[in-house]
Amino acid sequence: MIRFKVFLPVFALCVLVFWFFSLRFDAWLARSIESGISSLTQTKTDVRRLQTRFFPPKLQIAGLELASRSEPFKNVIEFEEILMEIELWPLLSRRLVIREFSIRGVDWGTDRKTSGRLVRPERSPSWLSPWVTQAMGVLREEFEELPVARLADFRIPENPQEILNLLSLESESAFREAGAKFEDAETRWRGRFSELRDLRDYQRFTGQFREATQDIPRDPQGIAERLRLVQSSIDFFQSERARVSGLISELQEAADELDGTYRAAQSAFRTDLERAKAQISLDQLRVDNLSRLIFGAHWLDRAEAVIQYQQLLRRALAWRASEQRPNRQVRPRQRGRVVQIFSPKAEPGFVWEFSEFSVRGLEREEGDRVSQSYELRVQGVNSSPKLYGKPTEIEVLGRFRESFLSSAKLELFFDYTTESLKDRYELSAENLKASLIPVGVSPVFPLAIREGSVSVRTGFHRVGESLSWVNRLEFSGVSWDLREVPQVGAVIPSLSRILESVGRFWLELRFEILDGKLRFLVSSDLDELIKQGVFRELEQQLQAFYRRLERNLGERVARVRDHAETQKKEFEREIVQEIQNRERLLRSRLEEAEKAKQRLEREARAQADRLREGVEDRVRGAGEDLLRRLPR
Amino acid sequence: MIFLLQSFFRLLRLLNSETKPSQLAAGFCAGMVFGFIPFFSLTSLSLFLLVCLFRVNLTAFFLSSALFSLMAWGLDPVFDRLGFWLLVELPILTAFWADLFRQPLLPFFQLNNTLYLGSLVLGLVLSLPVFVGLIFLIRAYRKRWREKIKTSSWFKALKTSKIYSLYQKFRALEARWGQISS
Repeated sequence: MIRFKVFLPVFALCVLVFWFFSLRFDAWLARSIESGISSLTQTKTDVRRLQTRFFPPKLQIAGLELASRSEPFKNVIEFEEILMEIELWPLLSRRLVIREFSIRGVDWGTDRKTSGRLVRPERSPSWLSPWVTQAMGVLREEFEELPVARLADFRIPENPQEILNLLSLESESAFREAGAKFEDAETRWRGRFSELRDLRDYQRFTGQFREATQDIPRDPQGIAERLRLVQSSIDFFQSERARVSGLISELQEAADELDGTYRAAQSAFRTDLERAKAQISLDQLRVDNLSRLIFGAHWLDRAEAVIQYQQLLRRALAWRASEQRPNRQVRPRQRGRVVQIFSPKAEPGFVWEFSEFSVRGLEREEGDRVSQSYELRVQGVNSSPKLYGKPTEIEVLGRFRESFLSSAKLELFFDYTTESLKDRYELSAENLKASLIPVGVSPVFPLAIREGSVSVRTGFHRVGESLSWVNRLEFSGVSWDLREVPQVGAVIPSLSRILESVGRFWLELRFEILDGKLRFLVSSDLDELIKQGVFRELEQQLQAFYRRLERNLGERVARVRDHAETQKKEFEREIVQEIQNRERLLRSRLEEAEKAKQRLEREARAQADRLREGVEDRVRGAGEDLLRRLPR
Repeated sequence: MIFLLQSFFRLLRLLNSETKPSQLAAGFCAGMVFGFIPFFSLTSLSLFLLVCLFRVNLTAFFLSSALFSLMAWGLDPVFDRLGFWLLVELPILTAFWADLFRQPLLPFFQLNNTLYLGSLVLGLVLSLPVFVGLIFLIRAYRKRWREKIKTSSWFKALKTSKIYSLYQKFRALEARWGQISS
């Protein structure tokens, strides 16, 4: 039944496989590692020597060099030796469990003999998260809307007419309207005066009651006649006064309305002035948060990369499974779908349980001098955190001598073992060269930092969908490179002068998700310094300009305003004072008439008294005569 | 065209030869499973080694694998659906799959892929009825239809056609090349 002739080719195949694994596997693996890292880093990667051993499985890589992308004949990093020991049995179950991992000797910026340049077409990575791309797009749009151009364009004009010509002034028409209203009112009220009696009538009635009090007759009929004349004058003045009072109250309302029109014209003048001032105002510069403008845009690219990588990590590792176990996770593949089954006994395909080692980098030129040292601690790196059940922690501490930074510490913690995914990344770096921090707004304000150092603290925290990423940078000893900054407008030179005097400041860049929207906040003590400095320098010029502006605006509306004021005064003089004079005249005439009446009344009473006394005397005398004549 | 004729006459020769019907049927069934499953996989390599090792007819194997490879293009959605049903929608098997994928070497067969599992299972399930049916058909052919076909007018017409003469020349060349190389 068995085809024994086949044994020969099968045996040959086995020999071939053995030959491959014993002689060619190392070279094949080295090339695979080189091309794999190269495709990831987009730089050339070289492995000097690679050695594998199967019993027990062990991988040793000597001289792993990663070329620099910017300098073809330099390496970004070079590892002297990497050693990895793997467990054999899990390999048969398609699981990679690293028993031990260590690195010996690391060098930065070493020379290369061959160019490390890789010419590859730029491709947009397929793993990009659409959410991050969209959120960052929104932030970039916000930056595009910032008034960057105003920084260069802002200037204080010499001639305020430039600004006034741009505006349609409302105060001119308002004063014209007020003047016309006063004119109309004056005409109208002059007509209303015809309702009053002529002043000659006043004189006639005045003469009438004055005459009545002269040569007062002695007889009662005469006094009564005089009283009647005085009373008719009083009646006349009272009726006239009532008419004048009615006119006065009406005039009061009209005058209030006219005053309102005039005040509105004055208010329009002030509004025009404010509008003109607003055309040249420091508020429109929005210098309150200038640090966002000069530092913020540069952080967006790196922030996007960090959040994208974090999203990628989550997508790759955080397979969601419900509490019910075993559970399945279905992931589409190029052909078919792969079903991952979670069961209590299932284990992740890759585990790097624990590693803790330190590595030193030596100065090539100066023998054994240690130029840098690293401490690495890895715990629980795995391909399926849900199966592994423990969070992953990585700590890297690097110390550098005469480098672009003195020390850096990176702590990574991510826990994807439960439904609530947690990420916590902390990075701190001391004495980082400040010139490495990108700054400036090209081409408006292309400044750079020439010297100085910065200490960086970064905390990236994600729990579930919430995100909080705070970067705090403390700058010290900073000197600015302002050679490329164009000295145009009023603000840019002022900003340059202010920054030249700032050597120490802090900057905080904060990304957070609020209401499902990614927000980017930048704050710094530079903001207040810049604001105060710019305001101090420009405020004096601005105030002088505002005074010129007010004078110019006043001159422009002077003709209509003067006309309105003249009309107002004329109305007050001709109408208001006229009617007030009439009212005063009436009041005095009325008082005078009342007094005349009282005088006549007194005279009448005196005559009546005298008559009564005469009658009484005569009656008494007649009585006494009669008594005398009576017989005793 | 010559390839089709070659395949057709090769099949006739096989049917007319003294090869056991069971060997022919086994080769055909193995070829069917081989044709169904994705070519570059550990499963297909293992199957091929088994076919080489056991006495099954290789010509039938290659003919049927070519035929069913073509069919497999159109049947991919069926394999995927079947694999998904077995892996996901049949809860009774979940524990079995979880255990199976933890065993040594088995993860390399990629049976947690719906396409791989679906094609293998469908191929294996169809193998038994196809195997029995083919044995029955081959025996019936040899007993009843072989002479009828040989003497049929369409078969004679085919043998006198220009295409057949071209095929004969090709076969002669093939035979000479075989002699030279041996």
